[in-house]
Amino acid sequence: MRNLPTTETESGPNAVDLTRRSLLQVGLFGSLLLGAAGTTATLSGCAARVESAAAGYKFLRDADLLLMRALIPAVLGPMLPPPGAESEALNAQLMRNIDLGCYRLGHPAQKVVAQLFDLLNLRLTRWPLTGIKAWDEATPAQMQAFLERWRTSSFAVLNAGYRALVKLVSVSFYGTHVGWAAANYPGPPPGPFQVFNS
Amino acid sequence: MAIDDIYTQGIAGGWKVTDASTLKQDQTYEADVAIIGSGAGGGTTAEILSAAGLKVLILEEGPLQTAANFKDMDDARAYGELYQEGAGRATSDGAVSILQGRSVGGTTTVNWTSSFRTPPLTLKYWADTFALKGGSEEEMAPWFAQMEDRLGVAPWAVPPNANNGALKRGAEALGWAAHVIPRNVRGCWNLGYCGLGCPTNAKQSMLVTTIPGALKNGAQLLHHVSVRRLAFTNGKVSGLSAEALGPGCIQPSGVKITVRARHYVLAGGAINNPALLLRSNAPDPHQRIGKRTCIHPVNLSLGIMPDKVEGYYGAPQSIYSDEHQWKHGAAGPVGYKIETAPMQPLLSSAIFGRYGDELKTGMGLLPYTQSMLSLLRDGFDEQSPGGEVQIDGSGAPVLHYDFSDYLWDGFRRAYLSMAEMQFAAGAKQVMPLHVDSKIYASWAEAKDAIATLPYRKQRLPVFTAHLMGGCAMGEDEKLTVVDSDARFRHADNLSIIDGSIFPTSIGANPQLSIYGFACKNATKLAGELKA
Repeated sequence: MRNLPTTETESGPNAVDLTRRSLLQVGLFGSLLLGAAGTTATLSGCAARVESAAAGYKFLRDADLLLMRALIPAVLGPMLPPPGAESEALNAQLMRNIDLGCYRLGHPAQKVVAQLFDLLNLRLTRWPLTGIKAWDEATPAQMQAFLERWRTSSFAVLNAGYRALVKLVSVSFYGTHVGWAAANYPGPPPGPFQVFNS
Repeated sequence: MAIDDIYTQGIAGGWKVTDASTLKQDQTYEADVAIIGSGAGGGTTAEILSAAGLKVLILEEGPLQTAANFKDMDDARAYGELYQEGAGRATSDGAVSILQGRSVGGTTTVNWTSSFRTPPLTLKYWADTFALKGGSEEEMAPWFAQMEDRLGVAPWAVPPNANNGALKRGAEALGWAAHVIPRNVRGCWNLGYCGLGCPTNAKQSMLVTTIPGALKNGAQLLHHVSVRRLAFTNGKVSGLSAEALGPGCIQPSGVKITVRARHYVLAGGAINNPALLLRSNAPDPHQRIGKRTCIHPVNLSLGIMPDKVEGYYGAPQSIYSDEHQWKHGAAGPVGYKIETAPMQPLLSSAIFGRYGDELKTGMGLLPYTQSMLSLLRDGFDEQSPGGEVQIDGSGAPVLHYDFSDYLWDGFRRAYLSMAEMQFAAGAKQVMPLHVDSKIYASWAEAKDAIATLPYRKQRLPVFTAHLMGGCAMGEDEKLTVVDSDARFRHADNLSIIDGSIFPTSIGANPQLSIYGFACKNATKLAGELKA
């Protein structure tokens, strides 16, 4: 998918031609999802992605970071602190958690996640499939519209993409103390916790 | 008061434990028996063989983590470090999320302690369908008894937590069967953090029982080591090659490890065992390796209760209902066992599958949320042949698993049973976990909705924590990979001793089934190797 042209016409998300082409891409993504073992996946393909990870990250590339920056408020918006230092620190922690989560996946799952991110980062496929031109210009409302579109789509592969994206972000959050508070979870029982940790 | 982590003292006293990530040069090890995996099968086997005087080497891919690590009771640390693929393992199309352990002790280090003997109808089905010998209820009883004694298995004598209490109350209100779950614990503090590693050593996992037992007997444990290939030569396994992993337990460190043993035991579980055999081009004339992988597919239902449930505290599973499990014997429409799930926030959010306001509201109700899960008994019908483990181009395992109408019907009935029980237990609202579900305020409303939900992959979130099969046992060589004594058919010195030899799912949480069959097969193997 890296060799595909990244130019696109400006005919809009409803253009039949673009939709058909993007669904061809989805078809590719879907066949990889459904038949990872049957593809010619190699370790070197995976290593190449790891090597191109963004500075300070193990799996996510620069383009993926833009996607995550837009996705995090769409999934967690009502729970995030207002813009500021606290919000930035939490955002950085969530990005690291998402990165580590992807890094720990086995090779076949990493390949599928990489396909999903590629599909979302390629303008040719992103616009018709999500209605979003650029992640760094998308509003949370537009992002939620995209998530809802994928959630309710009749294409199982888009449902799968929805589930993967929402899960990546929510588990990165509910494992933090801010997430615990949002879930009204008081944390481990304080008495035993003190006993073990004193 | 720090809890004794067992290993610090043991290692100081001479236990042979090696963290392979610290090795700087390639190594060769020799042993009477090399055991690959340290979970329910590998741990039990290691203790029995070492007690018989055999020189045992245990190879574990995951890290050695103990009560010294578990004392933080932190879900993010635990799921990331103690589970396969950082708890992100899934079937090939992502439709089924897989929770499977990966540390010394395997899944027993992180399971929820439910301990059931293999149901008699399951044993009979194996004898009838796969010609399994020596596995009848009477023949297995002493092996189960021996392991129950070893691991302190007993019905939970403490009142259930509110999460399990609701299951009991709902079943009683409907006149359904509900019973107390036997647990493998000694001196349990009733904290509820079993899934994150027991911080008090109360859970009688392999980590604190048979592995220390084997180490006392002189066995050697090598962790942070990934076994890549077995070499098959002239009807025997002639050697094993492995890679040491780096400190993070993900990437190889570059150090190669070679093992030569008289006998080899695979105990890496139902996904990793078939993958290792396939990577090794193991003889497989009937193409049975990796077939019939059963998973107890799970769907869940959440009930919002008027009072706090706090399902994150207290023994996670203590009550179950088999009301819908054996209605037609082993055959007929798929049966299911109903239990509860612990509700720490990370796992809860992973199953919730919503975003924005819906996520905030739903997760915000966590203290009031009661959870039920249904384990579908797969593998007992032509329409439920299980999944298949294959390997990708890198040799990594890939599990394919599909659903037929037989299983979709089971999920639908399970949603109905769980919702009915939750309302009967006093729930104000119930939400079957499904991409298209809503929160329903009455049993009538839930019943109508459950009838019309789409029963399709990716819309119905499915989970599994029970991986079984892929190396089925029995005497019918066209259907099985190992014989009734768990010996691999096509090599003289290879056994497979863990959950991968079960030819169907169990119909109950599988750990005690693994212990019982491991105890039987390892005892016989010890006798043969000593002869």
